[in-house]
Amino acid sequence: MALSIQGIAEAVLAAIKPVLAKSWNDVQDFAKTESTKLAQTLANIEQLKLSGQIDEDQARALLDMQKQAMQSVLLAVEGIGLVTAQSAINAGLGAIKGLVNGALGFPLIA
Amino acid sequence: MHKFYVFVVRVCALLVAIGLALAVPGCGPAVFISPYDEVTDQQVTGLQKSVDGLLATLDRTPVPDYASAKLTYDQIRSDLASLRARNTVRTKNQITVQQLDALQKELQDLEDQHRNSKLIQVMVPPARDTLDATFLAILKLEIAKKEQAN
Repeated sequence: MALSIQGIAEAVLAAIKPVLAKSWNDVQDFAKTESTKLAQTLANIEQLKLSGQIDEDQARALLDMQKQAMQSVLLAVEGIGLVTAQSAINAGLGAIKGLVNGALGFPLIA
Repeated sequence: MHKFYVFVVRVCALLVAIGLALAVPGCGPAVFISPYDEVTDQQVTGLQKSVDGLLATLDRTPVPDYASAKLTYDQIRSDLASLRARNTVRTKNQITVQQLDALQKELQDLEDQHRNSKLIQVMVPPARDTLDATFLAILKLEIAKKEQAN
């Protein structure tokens, strides 16, 4: 049976789209929630400094902690992106594996 | 026969293009990041409980002196070093290692303030919120790997 490149591409896209959509919703919520929480903590630190409850050195320590936490959140977003890309490409290959291997008569796609 | 070989070449070109674009070796499964590690999941959760316990003892006025908490700091530092070592040897796991380094720096900041008698009660809640965010970020990534595998 002849296979068309268009058909294969559409099968790959159909497999990838839900993977990307789900992951985008998930990571978007996470990034937004954590960014909001960190912003609130930052405002709290500022208030403590302005009110004189902590000095510059103490504020600097708390802000450095904030910076590390934000980095960790962004790293998680990056990591989830890699997990998503991995899932998407494997879903795409999985969608066409039977078609392609069957048409070719040997397991091109493992 | 010529058309068949042309077809094979085109299919392979498409698959190789996808694979090269996403750094897939050959036409096997793509692996861009280390898989889920249950031990890491459990150890991070355990470490968070230890840090939370420490912060609970510090969240008072006056903050207990550093000497009374030193052993706890030492244990947390040791557990974190062990966790980092485990994750360093896992391939394609640089992101988790960087997250653990960020966590280590936060804990160092907290301990330095405490050691220098600069840690006061009003600093504990924002420190807790910040550390919680870091722990959550580490676990979020690990859980994402677990969900992908399932």
